[in-house]
Amino acid sequence: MKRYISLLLAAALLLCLAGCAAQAAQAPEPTVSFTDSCGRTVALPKTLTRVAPSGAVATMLLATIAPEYLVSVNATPSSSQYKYLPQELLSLPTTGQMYGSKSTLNLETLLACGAQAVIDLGDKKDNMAADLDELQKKLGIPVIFIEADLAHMAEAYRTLGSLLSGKQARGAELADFCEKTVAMAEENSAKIPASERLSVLYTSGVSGLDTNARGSIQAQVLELIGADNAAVVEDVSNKGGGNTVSLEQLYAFDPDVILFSAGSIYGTVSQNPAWTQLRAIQTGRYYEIPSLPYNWMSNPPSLNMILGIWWAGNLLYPDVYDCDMTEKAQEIFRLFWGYALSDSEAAQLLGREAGA
Amino acid sequence: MKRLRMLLLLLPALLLLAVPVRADAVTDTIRVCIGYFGWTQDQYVEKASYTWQELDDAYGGALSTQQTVYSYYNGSRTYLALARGFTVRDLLEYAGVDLGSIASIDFFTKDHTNGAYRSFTKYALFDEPRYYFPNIAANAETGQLYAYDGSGDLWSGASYVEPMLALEDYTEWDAVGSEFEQYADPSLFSTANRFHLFFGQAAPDEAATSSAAKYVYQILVTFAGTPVLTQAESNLELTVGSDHTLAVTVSAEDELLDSYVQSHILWSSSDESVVQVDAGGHLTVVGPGDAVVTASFGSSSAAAGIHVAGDAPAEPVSAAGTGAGTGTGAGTGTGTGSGTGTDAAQTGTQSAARTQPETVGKPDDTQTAPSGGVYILSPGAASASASPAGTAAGEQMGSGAAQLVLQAPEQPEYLLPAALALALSALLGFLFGVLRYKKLR
Repeated sequence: MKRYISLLLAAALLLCLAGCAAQAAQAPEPTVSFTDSCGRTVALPKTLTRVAPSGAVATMLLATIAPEYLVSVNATPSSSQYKYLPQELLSLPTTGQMYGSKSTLNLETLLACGAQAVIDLGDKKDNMAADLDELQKKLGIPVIFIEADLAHMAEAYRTLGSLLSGKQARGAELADFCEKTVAMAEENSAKIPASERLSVLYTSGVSGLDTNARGSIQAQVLELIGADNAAVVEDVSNKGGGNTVSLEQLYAFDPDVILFSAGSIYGTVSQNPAWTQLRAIQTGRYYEIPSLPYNWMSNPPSLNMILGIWWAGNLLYPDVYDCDMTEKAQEIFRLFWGYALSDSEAAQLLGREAGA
Repeated sequence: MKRLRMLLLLLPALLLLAVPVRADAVTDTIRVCIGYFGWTQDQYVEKASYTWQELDDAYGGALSTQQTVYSYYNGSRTYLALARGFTVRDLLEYAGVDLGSIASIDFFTKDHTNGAYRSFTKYALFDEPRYYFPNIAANAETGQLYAYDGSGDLWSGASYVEPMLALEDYTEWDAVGSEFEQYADPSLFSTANRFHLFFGQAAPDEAATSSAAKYVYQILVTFAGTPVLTQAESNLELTVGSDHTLAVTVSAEDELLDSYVQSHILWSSSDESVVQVDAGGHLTVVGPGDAVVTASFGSSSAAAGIHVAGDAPAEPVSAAGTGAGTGTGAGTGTGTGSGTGTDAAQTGTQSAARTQPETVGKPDDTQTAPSGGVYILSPGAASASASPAGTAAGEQMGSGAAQLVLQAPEQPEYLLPAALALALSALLGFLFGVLRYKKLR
């Protein structure tokens, strides 16, 4: 009798286990081996159509190449951004982001959204491989990183095109544009003699003193187009707010041109005695960076920088970067976002670049 | 080998269960839950749950959103926000919450910087005027407030603001409203703090930034008063061997709470040698005598007197607490009955889970008993207990006396050991089974 009871007990428990195991063992998806930009080799589903971005840069790049494949976003587009962006983004769950000052990645939501893989895009960071390994272990799905700073943007699009099902052509289309833009900027930059290079301060914040310094990921555009970043500091910050400098440092920099992010003191600086002695303010060579759907210079440092290359190049060196900025903005909005930017909308976006 | 493979297959599932969820995180959904003082958080009942899209009128949602500037001061720095969202008042009304019955509101947040939730009395959030002060600035060195326009008037330009749950916002430390308004515009909005609670200031020097909260995902609305339990029959004459089922009606601030309380009522008999009662209020009459059968939920209860004819026991059965509570709680609920019970002996002790609000109990909270005695508990008085040695006179059951039975719900103390024993048995059974199976093979 005892024997039967024992057998029954064991059988019942094994049945429970087998039931769970059967679910876990359901026909595994065919995979391909992929080595990411951290050198990690990860098995990715061969048919990849459901992806979750790990942050803002990844959301933006994936939204331009395959918005229908996104199962989540780092943050819902704001009411001002929304009209320019793919409509799918609005209905997706938000997960926050893995890196940055607003690091808020919500694993619970990530788990629930049914992603086949998590994709991180952007600049390389310290300890990244370990971070991604840990996240992958926690989630139980592949997590990969593809480097996508300005120098690697085209390559990142091509890689995404090869990983995402049926997106090779789209990836190539976007990669080509990035490649041509970066090559154009490098070529133009080489034409500008050192004596004609402008020193430029790229700053933000309520004080106007939060600068994106030379060497910062956020200031890549300046360096690429042939400008000298006026802010030279130790311990360069790659965060959106950059390095906060003092007024004394500001006067030591005394840039030829100042670019203010939206939300900074562009509108009041000409009446601010602390600033009016600066050459850029006195000569009226200060501008507000267009900010929709994202800041055109960076923050986040993503594909918006491609537009920033044209805008800042044309603004600082119109003879070298000779283009109709309205038409160029329309072309880029159409290509990346699928949005038909009207002349009046373009004028509005470009409206606050005229200085005082 | 197969067993090993099976376990390996199970590993990912186990790993998923172990994933820690990050505390600080944006949220897409807001829940409104309702309950009473003294209730634990899990006793609150979900009144409504909405995704942000369902609420945001900019995308076809139900609530009107508005754009408002809020000012804050934290004792040394100023903080400004331009926010677009809906008012807390509109959300609660849309969810069907009776604002007039609210005692307090807790906002639960995934931003744990200042704790898991922020509590407000109804007065502080809805009744006290709150403002935006565009003229306040803080001295960078001393932290002292001063009027930015040099007028000395911190109230200059102040405007009323309503508490809001923002869908998107732009915030700035150390800014001054009069300047902030010039450059802060919707193009700067971020949705990354949704739902972000803003409520302004009652005065320029009110330091309230620690009460602000982003990532709000749940609102707990606490009603004043307490649910009223009423037994349909308050005095019964039964005979040994018969059975009967008692019914209780619940009157709370919301129908959802009626249902919840109804399904969580605990029944007890003061003398199981006279009458026994099961979880559904079903009586089994065991022997002659008098007993009180009490239905209770939290701090609310209602009792029925049972008289079973025959040789009654010498000691009369009575409940210790009678009449309306006169305890130290702020509650003012009253019970009226047609009997002769007194309320002289009643004392209550307060054990509400959170801070007692400034106002507890609505003016219209008077609860009328059906004839024959009804037993109503004063709100806030949570834990007085019935005792057979009650001192009140004239409370003999069957006499029609009004009875107030204050009885804490009985805790099933055997549950934890029983669960542990069960788990242990299952584990031993499994091991034993496997060993036996191996042996058999």
